[in-house]
Amino acid sequence: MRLGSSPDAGGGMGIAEVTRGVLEPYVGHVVADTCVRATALSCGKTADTLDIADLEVLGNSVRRLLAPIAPSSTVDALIEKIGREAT
Amino acid sequence: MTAGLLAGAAFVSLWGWADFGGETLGLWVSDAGSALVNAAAAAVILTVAFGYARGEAVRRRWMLVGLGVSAFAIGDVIWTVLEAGMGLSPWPSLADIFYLSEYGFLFAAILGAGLAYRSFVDVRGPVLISSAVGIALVSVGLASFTRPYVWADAELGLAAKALATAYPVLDAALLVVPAVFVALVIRNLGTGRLAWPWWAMVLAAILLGTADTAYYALDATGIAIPGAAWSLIDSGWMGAHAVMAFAAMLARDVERV
Repeated sequence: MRLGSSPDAGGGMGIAEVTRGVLEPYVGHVVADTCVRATALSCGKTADTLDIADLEVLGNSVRRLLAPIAPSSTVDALIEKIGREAT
Repeated sequence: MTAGLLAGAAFVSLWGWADFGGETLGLWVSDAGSALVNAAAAAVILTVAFGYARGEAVRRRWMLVGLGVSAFAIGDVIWTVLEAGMGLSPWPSLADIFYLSEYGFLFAAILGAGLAYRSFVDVRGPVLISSAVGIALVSVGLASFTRPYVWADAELGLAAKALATAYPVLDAALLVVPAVFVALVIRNLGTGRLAWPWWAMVLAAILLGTADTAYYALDATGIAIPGAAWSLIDSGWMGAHAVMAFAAMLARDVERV
């Protein structure tokens, strides 16, 4: 199994990998990785074991963490994109 | 829009350099032209700021930048009325209150942009380094030209001495320090495009601080430089505000998903 992939991620990339891929061009790798790790911590999991069921928690983490640096419309669009690419 | 603002700044500076149309017209073009370019930059930035929803952190930051540039433009209008309109010496004057207030607005905006990333990176190093840079610049400035030239000048009044000291000190403390701080913070974040506007703001702050400090240093020391160089310094303020307008518009572009 590739690092960051999950058996629940529809056979493609895992949630962590998708999230990093979507967020990184906008916020850089440090912020993207922090969002993933904060979500995993909230769920009591590791980044590699995050799955589709954690999308809501992920959305909340991303909203909370990115609020100081991005407008809510951008954050909502990024979360929507993560959801689309993960499912 | 940015190209238009930069072209306006270039036009005003070139007119001043060429001394076209005589002294009176030159003064009007230089003073009113600068006010127009800076007011246009402020309008662009405030339009971007009002485009965000109420309560958004990014709205507050661009609002602060817009208010800062607006304050400078109001200072320019007062300067124009006093110098070109009434033939009075505009320095020191009410205009300085508006010019100086820009520092506070920009300091709050740029520092806020850097601090917004404190959940992601350790900001203690950037705080220490930028503070050290500020202290070094202020110390060198005070020792090398403020004390020997400004405070030793018997012809300058107390208000003029205070202002000739305040401008370069505030350039270092309230423009260069937050610019270095935010540059160090976002440098550690990788290549995220949401930080690009703040790189432009770093450039603008350094441009503004450099133009301001160069002007006061040359004015205080009386070092003779060619008219073209004065025009270039003169265009530094307008150029910096044009870059700030560019940064605000860039912010809207990079936020599109």
